[in-house]
Amino acid sequence: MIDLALVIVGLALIAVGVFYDFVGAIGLLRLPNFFTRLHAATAGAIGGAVVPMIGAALVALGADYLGPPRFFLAGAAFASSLLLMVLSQAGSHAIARAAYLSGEASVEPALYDALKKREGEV
Amino acid sequence: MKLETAAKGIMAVRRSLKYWASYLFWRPAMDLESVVTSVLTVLIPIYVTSFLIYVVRVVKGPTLPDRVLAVDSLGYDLAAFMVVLSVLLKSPLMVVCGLALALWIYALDIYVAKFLEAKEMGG
Repeated sequence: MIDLALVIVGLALIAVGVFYDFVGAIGLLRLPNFFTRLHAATAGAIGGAVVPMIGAALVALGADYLGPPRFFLAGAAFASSLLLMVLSQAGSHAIARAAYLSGEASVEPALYDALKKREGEV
Repeated sequence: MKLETAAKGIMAVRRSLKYWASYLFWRPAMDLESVVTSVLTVLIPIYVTSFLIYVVRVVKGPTLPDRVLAVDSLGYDLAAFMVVLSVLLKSPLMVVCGLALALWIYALDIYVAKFLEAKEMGG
């Protein structure tokens, strides 16, 4: 019974992750600006990669037919989901900071840019 | 005589109703493996579609950070896809590849960020 519950919850998490992935892909394609695309990309990274990894770990724990290697599969999936939860945010933050400071990406449809150097500032 | 035929007709209708109702509540005997396999088989084309959309942004992206961001998302979702695929294919070997891929994508982020800020690759 607990196996069936684990499998159902895991498959639901994988389905939620696929939804996030698709929405993040559409946002990355359609949004007008680098800094708005960053929002879609991080949503796709957390919702589309971390959530289905946890779901796959639960499915692997619940599915008896996979045999003893399923514990290895579940542990590695859980570890990589924890790793990704930290690394994706750190990496996107670094790339956003670099893109702003180097002036590579424009902030064009912005109403107000709080980080811009004003007159008289160093 | 008339009453008998009417009763026969009613019995026939009831029998046919039961027959169709048994089709209505009919379920195939599904074990765990076929449930997991069929659900993942339905979900995989959506993953592949989103990969194609990411590739469009990688090719189109007007600036370097856009391309790097699209490659980031592609790599993270490819890692998740590898985990799902290893559940589907019943072999735990591909999970390690997903873990290593996530680390490489982070390294790409940091390298490109450093190149953009300092204009040097730096060792």
